[in-house]
Amino acid sequence: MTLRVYIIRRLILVFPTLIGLTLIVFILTHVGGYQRFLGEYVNIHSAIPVAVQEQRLTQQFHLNDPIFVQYFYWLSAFLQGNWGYTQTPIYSGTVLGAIGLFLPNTIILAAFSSILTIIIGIPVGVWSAVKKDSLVDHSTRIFSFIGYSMPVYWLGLILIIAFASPAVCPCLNIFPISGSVNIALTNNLSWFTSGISYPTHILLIDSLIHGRLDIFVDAALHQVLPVVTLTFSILASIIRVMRSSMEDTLNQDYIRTARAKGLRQGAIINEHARRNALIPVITLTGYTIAGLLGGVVLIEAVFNLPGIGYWTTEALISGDIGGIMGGTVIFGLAFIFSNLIVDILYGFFDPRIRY
Amino acid sequence: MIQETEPEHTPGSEELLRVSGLRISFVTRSGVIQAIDDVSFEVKPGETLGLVGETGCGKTQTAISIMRLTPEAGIIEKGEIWFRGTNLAKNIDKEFRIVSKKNRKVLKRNKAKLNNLERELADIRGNHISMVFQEPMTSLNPVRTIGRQVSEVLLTHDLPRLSNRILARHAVPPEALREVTDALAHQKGSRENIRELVGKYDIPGLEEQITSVVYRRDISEGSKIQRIKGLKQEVNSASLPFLRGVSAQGKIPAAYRFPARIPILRARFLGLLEKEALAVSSELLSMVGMPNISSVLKGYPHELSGGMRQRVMIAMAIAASPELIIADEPTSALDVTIQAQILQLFRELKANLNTSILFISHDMGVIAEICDRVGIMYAGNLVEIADIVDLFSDPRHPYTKGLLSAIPPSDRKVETLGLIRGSVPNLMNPPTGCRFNTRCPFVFDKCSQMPPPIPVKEGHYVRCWLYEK
Amino acid sequence: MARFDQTKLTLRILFENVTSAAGLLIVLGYVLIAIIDAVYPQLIGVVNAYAEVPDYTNPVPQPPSLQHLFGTTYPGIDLYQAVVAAIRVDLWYSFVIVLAGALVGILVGVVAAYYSGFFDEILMRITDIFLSIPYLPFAIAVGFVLGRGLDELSLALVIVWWPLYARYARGQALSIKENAYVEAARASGVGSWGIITKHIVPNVLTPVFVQISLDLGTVVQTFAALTFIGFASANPLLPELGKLISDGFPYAISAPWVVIFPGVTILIFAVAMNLLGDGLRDALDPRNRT
Repeated sequence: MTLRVYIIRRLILVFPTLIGLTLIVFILTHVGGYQRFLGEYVNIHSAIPVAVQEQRLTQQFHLNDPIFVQYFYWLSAFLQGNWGYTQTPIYSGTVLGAIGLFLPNTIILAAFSSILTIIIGIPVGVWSAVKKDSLVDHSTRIFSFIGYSMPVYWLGLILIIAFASPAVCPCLNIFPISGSVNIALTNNLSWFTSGISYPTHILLIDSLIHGRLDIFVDAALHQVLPVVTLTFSILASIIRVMRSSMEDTLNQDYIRTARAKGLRQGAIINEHARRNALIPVITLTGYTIAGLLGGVVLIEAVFNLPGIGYWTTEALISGDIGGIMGGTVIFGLAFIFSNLIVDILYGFFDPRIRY
Repeated sequence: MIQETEPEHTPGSEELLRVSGLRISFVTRSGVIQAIDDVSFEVKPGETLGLVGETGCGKTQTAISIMRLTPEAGIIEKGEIWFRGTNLAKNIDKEFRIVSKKNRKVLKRNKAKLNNLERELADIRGNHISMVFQEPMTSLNPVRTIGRQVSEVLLTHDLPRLSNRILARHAVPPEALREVTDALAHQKGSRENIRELVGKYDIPGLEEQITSVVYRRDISEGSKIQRIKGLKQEVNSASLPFLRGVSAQGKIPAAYRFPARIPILRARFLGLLEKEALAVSSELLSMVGMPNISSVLKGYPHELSGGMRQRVMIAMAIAASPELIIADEPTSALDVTIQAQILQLFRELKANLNTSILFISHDMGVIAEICDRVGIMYAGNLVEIADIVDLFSDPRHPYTKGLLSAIPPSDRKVETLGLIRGSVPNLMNPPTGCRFNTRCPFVFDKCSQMPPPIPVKEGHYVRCWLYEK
Repeated sequence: MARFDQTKLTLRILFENVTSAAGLLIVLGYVLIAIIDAVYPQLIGVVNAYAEVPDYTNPVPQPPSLQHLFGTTYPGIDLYQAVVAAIRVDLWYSFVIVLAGALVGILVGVVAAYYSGFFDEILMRITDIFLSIPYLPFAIAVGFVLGRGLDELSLALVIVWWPLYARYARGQALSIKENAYVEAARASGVGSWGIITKHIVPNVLTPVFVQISLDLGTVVQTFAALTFIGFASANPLLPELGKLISDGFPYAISAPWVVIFPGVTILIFAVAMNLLGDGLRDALDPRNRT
């Protein structure tokens, strides 16, 4: 099987999973009666009275018909973009609108953390296994061990305390501890209202577009602590898996063959060991991404960053079903597609499964 | 005092490999296994020495230790391994300590000392000594193509050969090729003829390419002539100094070390060598009788059967023209028909190349087919060594006799097969003296001491007190 | 004979490794604290094991002192007592969640592997659907619709957790199924259910056991994380580690001990559990048992 065929097959498998996701969301909104469901789709800002809206919704979604029919109508509304309404302290409006506003910030956080993790984690993991039982190895293992044992939100709190508390050295007050930007800088800006920047909703980019380097720097500084915290947590898992996988790989017969061929240690690692060691890492990346997405929720809550995770936690506290559903859908989609990419990478690295 | 280089006056310095007094132990959780004790033998240039014994007798560990590939838990406690004037076991006293840790022995390694030797060893492995392993299934890297894995040997050890070949194609005058094709067309394509013809031009790397085409068995005469004619290939002028530098220095010249790897420039430099290595790999695979060479080169190990994978291993082993090939039970993991093919391959290689082979097996039949001399191992000792015919016709050691009598003969009928009573001793607590003394029918009191090798005939030594003069 | 000796060997290897022995001791220490807290809390200085004790006369968080070993948190609650009682609560919920999830998951996985075919396919598709949503957001969603209390949260976590075990157990069961002794059992007439319970499940348990021990650490953290975010018990004074951190969050900068102590408690438990799990995994690794 060539890589192309493998990719196509894998792509086809996405669809049942997507349907599964919609099923779960549908079931969740219907647990315990229609009231919750109606609550999500009622537009409180509309002039139409709630009772009337509820009547129309009952008709539109065929709430008196069997459950399969309901699913069909719900799904078609869903696919047409009607995801209901959300009403939380930070935002009130359509779910899709909320996603459009919050998603970019989450993407920034997740993207920076993932990139840092890969750049640091893989070489360190490889190195640690090669220099087995050395000081480097032991300290790396301890570091990564603490990293994945530590509650990520607690680490965030500790960093906040360290960088802001007068009890600790005030000299560390360089990194802002909350929010995404200093309010004072953003007063009276045409392109920045009620916490949202235009046109891309990503403050880092918009500030550059509008030529405000000071805002850019400030926003970047605000990202430092959240990104570091999240990275630390994920990095620990990646290093641990990379290291153990590398150790296993170095014990394989073909490594012995490579040594018998007269290859030096560097060549053995680069040519033979690393690629094979990456394969289990890639397989487990799926699990790590789950951790990343969960961590995003916690970090945004701790550091007050307006992203999907923050919206979800707000929704939880204020009882807003729209926010919960929107968050679930987004996280589900993110997970499904990142798993897709991971599987494709796996097929690229390991020719055996294409066969 | 461990000797590092061979003293001048050593007798028999015509030997290629000399192992002397080798002692290897394994440190495990439950105790120290004395796997090999006081093993000594030589391999002469061009000869095939067999090492036979039951499973667990230490023959594989002996072979592996020659190239210092002993696994983590194992150490060479004593002994010397002489190859080309160097003792490959020269660092052993500095490499490890066995310490006692609450009535258990634990190994402490000194990695730094071993690393110093690694450079020397890396030069020898794959280049002067190469190895064919027992398990073809797991001995190849599953995620790299066959072509790449075979080429690797050449790119590591034999760069001048590659650059010479490319330069030869650049420099060869077309009339030389015409001479050769004429000779072929008129049935005068013997090795000597070709050598004469080509030798006139004194272009290194040319003869090899011509003979490899001539001696391929999978293409027609007409194709061969076409290919030889096609050997004239100009080389890009930018690449010429690079190639000449490689030929002269034997490695990538310092100035090119970095640029040779840049993706765009690579094709001009390193890429040329890689392509050439692939071409040589193709010739090697043809030499080992591989079918469908072009698709195999692009394919992966899991697409090949066991026999074919073993052929790949053999191709890798002969690639850099080593002086010694160590074959560790190369046929044991294959079924009998494939076994026969691989043995045939070994026989051909023996005839065509001038390498020595150290052939390990537990199968006396296989040994008989291919070896010139053979050594018998039992429980970590080398108990007898002799020429092959001599051993089979006149075995001396009681264990050897027992071993041979246990093989059903094909030329006569026997009522029962020979049987050695008892079982192999536990090597954590081996018997003192001759390790066969627990099972030997002729055991007497002197057997509690290990006998030295006693010559019974020219080239035939036995470690058994029965033959004491 | 074999199984008892195997267990002894496992324990022996485990104890040779200093770190995993330490891990085991720490975990046992936590369990001991939880038990004492449930049975005789006064022994370790806890006045009320089921509720934090506010002191409205002195609501501002006080730093650690002789009176209050861990200091106090808002509103005047002795942090040491709250943390110790919270250990019991968290451990109890977490153990139940992991064991329930493992039980359901193992059963589903083994049954799917045993019966294979269409049945297996369906079960695995369902498992895959559950596995397509990352666990934290999923737990939030399920917990939300079930009701935002701690019991509902536990149920949500069980629902989120079982698919992992189903996958894992199925894989193990598939390879065990091929073993000769299963065939032998079937040939001697043992019924399907008997084979599943007597042969397959016990042999699946060993590697799954490692996973369970590692998961305990994760679940404690996840449970605390979700209470930190917003899941709360009907009893607003029920001591719980995540809730303590969340309550202390507003005071973190001026009174860091308020979040440090509960967090360290979780951290130490997670570290110990991970050490234990790693140690178990190394001890059960056949390569180390020679």
